[in-house]
Amino acid sequence: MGRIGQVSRIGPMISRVAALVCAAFAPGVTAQAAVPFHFAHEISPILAKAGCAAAECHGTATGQGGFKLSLFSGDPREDYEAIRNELDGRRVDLLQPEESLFLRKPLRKLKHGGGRVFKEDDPFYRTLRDWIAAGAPYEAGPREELGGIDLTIADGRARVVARFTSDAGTRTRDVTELSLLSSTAEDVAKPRDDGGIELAGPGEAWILARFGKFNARAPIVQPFAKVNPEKPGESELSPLDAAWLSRMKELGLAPAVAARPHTLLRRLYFDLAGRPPSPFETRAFFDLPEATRVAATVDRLLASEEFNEVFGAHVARWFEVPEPGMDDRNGVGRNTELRRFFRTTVKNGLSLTEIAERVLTERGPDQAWRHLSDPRDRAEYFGRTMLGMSIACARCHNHPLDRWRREEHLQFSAYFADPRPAPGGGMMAGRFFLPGEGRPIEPALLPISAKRPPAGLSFEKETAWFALEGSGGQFARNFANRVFGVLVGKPLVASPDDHRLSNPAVHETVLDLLAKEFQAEGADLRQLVRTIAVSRVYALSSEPPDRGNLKGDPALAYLARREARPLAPAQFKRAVESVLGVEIDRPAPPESPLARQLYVMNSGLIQAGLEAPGNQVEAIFDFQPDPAEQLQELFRLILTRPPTEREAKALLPTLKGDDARAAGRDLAFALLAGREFGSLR
Amino acid sequence: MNRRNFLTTMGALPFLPRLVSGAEFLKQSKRSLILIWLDGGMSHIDTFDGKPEAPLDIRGDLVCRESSLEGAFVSEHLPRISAMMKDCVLVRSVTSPEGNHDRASCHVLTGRRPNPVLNYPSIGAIFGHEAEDTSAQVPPFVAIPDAHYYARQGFMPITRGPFEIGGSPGVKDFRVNNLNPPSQLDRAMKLLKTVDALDGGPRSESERGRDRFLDQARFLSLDPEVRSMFDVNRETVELRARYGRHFLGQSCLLARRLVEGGVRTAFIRYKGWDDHRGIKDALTFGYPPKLTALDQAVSALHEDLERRGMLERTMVMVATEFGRTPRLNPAAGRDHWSRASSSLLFGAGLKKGVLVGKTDARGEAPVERPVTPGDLFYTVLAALGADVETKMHTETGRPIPVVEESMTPIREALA
Repeated sequence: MGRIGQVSRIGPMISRVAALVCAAFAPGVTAQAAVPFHFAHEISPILAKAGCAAAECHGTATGQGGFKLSLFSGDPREDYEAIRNELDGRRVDLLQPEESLFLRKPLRKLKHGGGRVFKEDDPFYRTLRDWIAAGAPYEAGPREELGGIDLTIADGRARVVARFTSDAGTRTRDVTELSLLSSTAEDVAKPRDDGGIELAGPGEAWILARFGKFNARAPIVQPFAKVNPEKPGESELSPLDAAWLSRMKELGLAPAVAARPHTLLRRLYFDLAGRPPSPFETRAFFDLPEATRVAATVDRLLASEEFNEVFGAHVARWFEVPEPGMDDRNGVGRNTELRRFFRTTVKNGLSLTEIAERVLTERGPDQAWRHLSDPRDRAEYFGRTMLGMSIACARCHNHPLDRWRREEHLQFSAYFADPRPAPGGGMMAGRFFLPGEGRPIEPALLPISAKRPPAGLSFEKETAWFALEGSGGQFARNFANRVFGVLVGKPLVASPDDHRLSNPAVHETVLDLLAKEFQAEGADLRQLVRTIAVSRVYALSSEPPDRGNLKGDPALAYLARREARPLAPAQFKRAVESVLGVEIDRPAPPESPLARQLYVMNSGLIQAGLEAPGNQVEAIFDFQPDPAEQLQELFRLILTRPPTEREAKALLPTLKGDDARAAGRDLAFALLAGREFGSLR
Repeated sequence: MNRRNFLTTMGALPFLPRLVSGAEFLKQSKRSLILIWLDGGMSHIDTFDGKPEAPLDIRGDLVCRESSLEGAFVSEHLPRISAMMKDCVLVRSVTSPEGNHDRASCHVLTGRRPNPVLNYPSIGAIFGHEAEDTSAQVPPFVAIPDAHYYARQGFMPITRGPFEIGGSPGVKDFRVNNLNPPSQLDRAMKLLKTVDALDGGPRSESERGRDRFLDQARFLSLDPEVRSMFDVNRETVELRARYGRHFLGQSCLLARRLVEGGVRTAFIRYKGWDDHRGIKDALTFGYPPKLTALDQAVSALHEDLERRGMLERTMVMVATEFGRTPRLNPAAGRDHWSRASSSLLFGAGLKKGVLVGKTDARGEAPVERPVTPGDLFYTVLAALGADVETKMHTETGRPIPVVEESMTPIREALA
């Protein structure tokens, strides 16, 4: 009668009587006397699963009808207190379990805002009733811990198995019916409460399971088409392309064809040098042997000063270095040292590990995160930049699908408290006091992996160790995702600041592969850029199969085709300057889309470039008398490609008019303001 | 209500219930919002929540008198507003825990307190595009001269952000940024059309968006008649003078023109209300004195809208992020005070002459009917007939309700 022994410890005298009575009349309860019982493993999941602890019911921050549960039962102890002891324990009636407020409400025998949740013959209801009958203990029987859960998907069913460990060893138990199941894409697959999976449409969905404080996920794929029309003779695939192609096969998607060489060349220049290629560089590209010209161009660009600038700016953005002017206080520019350092990171060949180490360990006013004053802001900065994880949700509440809880967020924040003077001189680690309560928080690393830092490190060194080694590869995964994102236009993990279980990569295998390679190469940025830039994924065409129907092409979602993306405002201005070979002393277009179009049309930005002495359009008309050749050169200069026959036919008459030069300027304006130039296809 | 719209309203009413539901009717009636944002925090005690009975260090040097709305004591520097108060809704009990400019602005403009992981869209972005019509040629949301950070689109796509005109219409020769085409653009624009046509249509959603906004830019800037929507010079000298020849006056006039032209939300950002020192002088001296400018512009707007029969479909809201400390500080100024502030509303969807809430004798905190910025936000959306039942979606597709459960509209103010 282990359970009854426990009850006497928990409840007053009366509950023991109740439990004894119950034990006498409910053999079902007593028969399992030796089985361990824990509120968190038996009762909490029911509250979560039945929706009682959902955000729109008792799980809200303020509760509902005076009864508050933790969101998705994240805090069993708190919930137990609310059920068992609040209102002087009037929610449960140990003598007459059926009369408990806690049971009559969901049966709707009493007015219940949430309507009827259970019927009397529901197994969940019976479990709750038996639990109250047994004295509503928090735990009973031998002590055991929930060690983790495993989710498997087979034969159209999800199965969740929980591992419990105790002195007696490990036991497993099927907890599918008690687990919260959800899907990342309900239009593909949707789990039922009993674990069955309803298939809805083609694509990939990740089934997420939650039991206790553990989450797990597993993918389920429904191919779009049965056959994969992959042509033979693709023996020399890079590991990246092989991983991506096998995903295409799995998903039953036909990859788009390769982009035309001009398009690919323009892409490479914009991505690696921040500008379109000059006609001279275009010619050089086509003079190279076809098999090696992409790799050779990539290598040349990787060694260029422009690459250092473009990726230096990316790295600064990833580490959230404030742009000039953004962080000025009282007219004093701040973070100038920091910006100077970041401008030269790529140029100096620093790996991302070295940059991260510098950011985390070097003391001084110019650390990227020092301008944030609250240790919690700093911890969140760390999460976003180093790991690509948003830990901010946990600042306010335990998030059901986060790996960490509020307490862990605070403990991690304690690492970032400002150092304080040590007795006897020098500085010592800072302390972080819980806002509102004033109690100091013991620092602890986020529970991402089981690795523990070596002893004797300073706080700064420990956070650096955590980012680079203790995070189980998340650092590499984060940056592989970001680099992929800037090159392909779409990161593998959508919203790259928010890696989490319920936000999987569109191709997990591809991201895994890139992250591993990146880590193996010592976090070398150039190497990773090269791997992606010479791949087939990078070279995919962006041409839609049906221009009338741009929305909802699964090829875009699954990276079977590239999506044309607009040049950023600054990129656009730089591109105009680069094409015309002049500097234009005007600001870049505004972000707002209407203001941007008005700016391009009416501000005179392009006109100013076209009127600047010695610009490249002018040069065409200085040296090239033949209108047909002029048109050819204009197109090659501005769009990196020759005009099509239709274009030549339609536009040539313009250049044959009276004032060819003025006409040429207008045509150059039209090409620069045109749809194609402003887009990276 | 004038004769013309009396006829249209009355003529249409008997058939309406059979044709469209209430919400549909409101949507079709295309209501608009003019939001006058007093950036920095307007002192409630010196403007709309006068405490003539309070000691001098509370009531300050500025005199408040009972206005045309019974029980509302309004500054004597706002005589014309005072006279029109009987047609307004005055909320004196706005209360919020946010005392920092940015955080409080976020609370009022988006109805929610700042969230570290979510940047909420402002009332203008929600309502301005509420009945988003991709063929609409007029930008639905315009900011004069620019939008406060929290008056923008938040997590919504940038296409729902405001069009910022970028300058003060009160300045001589004012022109909206890049609205007027340079001379001899005709051939270049014609060629642009040809080049785009030869290109064969957009390849992606972003390219299609670019086409749409280029069309809009063409529509707004190439036709002088359309362009004139942004031109306050088209108004008579008398009317311009009535609004006041200053930033706020001409901005209100411009806002009226824009609303006439089909803009759904005009946001006017009137800066400079953060008066920590010498509040009396700060409010009543200078050119123009802030209170005089406010009085002139808001009363003129009211008059003008009414005369044109636009008041039934246009709501005007005068709002600020927080009130100011009831007790004068040693510099004779007032500091941030978020426990009480006032907001003035009139026009579409609202009753006339409603006084909501009351603060204590010292103007420190509401004693009757406290209203949160969220409630105010809901009230405005409800009065405008916006669909508050729908959900907005974040970038990652997370659904966010337009109004939170914790918000309740001020029903007694709604018509």
